[in-house]
Amino acid sequence: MTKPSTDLVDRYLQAVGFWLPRAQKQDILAEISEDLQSQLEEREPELGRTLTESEVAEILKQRGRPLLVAAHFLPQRSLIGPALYPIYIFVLKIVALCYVIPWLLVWFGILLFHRTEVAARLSGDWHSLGTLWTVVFTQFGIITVIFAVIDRVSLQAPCVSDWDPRKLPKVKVETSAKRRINAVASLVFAFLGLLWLLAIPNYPFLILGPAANLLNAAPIWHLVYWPFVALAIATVFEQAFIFMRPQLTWFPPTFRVATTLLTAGIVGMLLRTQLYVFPVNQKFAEVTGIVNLCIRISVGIWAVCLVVQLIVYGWQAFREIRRAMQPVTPHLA
Amino acid sequence: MNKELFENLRLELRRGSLILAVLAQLRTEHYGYALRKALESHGLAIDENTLYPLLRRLESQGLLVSHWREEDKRNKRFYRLSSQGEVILYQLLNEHEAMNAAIDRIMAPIPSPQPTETGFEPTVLEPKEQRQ
Repeated sequence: MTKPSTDLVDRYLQAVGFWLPRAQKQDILAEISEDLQSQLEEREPELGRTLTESEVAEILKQRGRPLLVAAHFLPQRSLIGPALYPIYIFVLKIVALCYVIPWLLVWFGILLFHRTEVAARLSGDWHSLGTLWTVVFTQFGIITVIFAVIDRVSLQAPCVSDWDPRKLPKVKVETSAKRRINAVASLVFAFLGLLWLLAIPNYPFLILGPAANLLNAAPIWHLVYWPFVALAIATVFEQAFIFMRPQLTWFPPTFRVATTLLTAGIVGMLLRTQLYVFPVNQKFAEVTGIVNLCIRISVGIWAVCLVVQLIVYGWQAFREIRRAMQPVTPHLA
Repeated sequence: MNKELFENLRLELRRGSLILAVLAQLRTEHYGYALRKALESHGLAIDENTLYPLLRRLESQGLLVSHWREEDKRNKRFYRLSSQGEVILYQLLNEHEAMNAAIDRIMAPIPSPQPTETGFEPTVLEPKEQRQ
């Protein structure tokens, strides 16, 4: 072999060797070197001359980048193996669904509906969003590390071998008849709920209990009362419609997305005020303060629940509408 | 897309056959480059980046044995089938034959591709629903 080709081959082998494990490096390089020399020596008699530098370079190029060549000799590694990977993705989805999306929605909700000092500060800078990403990446990172550790210590083995098919959950079959029965039960409760709501103005103890003698409803309730009645009537109609058309599986979640949005609007109105009840007599002022605080906290929790509800119904509606638009396929059971 | 898909499936199909071919070829002793040439001469070209890691893996699994020896003034690593490798090779060959026979039986009812001006027309399998 000529000097230029030896030089190029040596440089190539050095580059490959950089990525190889120390214990096997010399052995692997000796074998690659021998193979290369055999190839180069075979070409020279064919051409009747020594190979030029560019011809040697072309042969090396065909072999591939040093890193990729070395990679073939390294053990195949993955951070999380195929046995655990679906569970890992599932856990990440749960974290995203239960933490990231509600956080973002609440953040936007506060910006849209509650322009207080907090909201102004949130909209003023993106610090809070930056905090979210830090928390999210930390959570995802921790989950990834945990799964990688589980994978390394092979804790997945019992999951693969020790399982009993008899312990698998039963196939969920929701027939139209079953949906109809559920709709009847829901219809009864929706109707009773509507009656209860209609009775409240005349019988405030139905909502305030014994405190009805001490407290009066604030004007905000007069504002939101009829929207609540409208929602209750809508729920009665929803259940009646499900009873008549139980096969339209896309309808309930889609309808609930709409009612949840309306409820969110009402809750938004309730969040804008701090006064929900006022005392009949000033001597009950302290009790009134506590009740107002409790209602305010409850409304806040309600708002968060609505966000989760909206995500769940939105996803169900999307899934059912997509299913309804697809051609009919054989169903389980 | 189809080309890429075919390439992936082709590689998947080839992977097992390559092991079989390498083991079969190493019933007689070869060094790496000579083995590559021998396989190529039988119509089975194999990339050096595939062959050498495969040889190492098969050796670590006890199916091959190797040693360095000087030949033509150069040190070369010679491989041959181990006794365990021989047993495994014949088991794999039986499996391969059984697989081929099964595929032949599966393919039997399908009519042969019809020759056309441009070559062979591939047999088009219609989806089940359309055939009904």
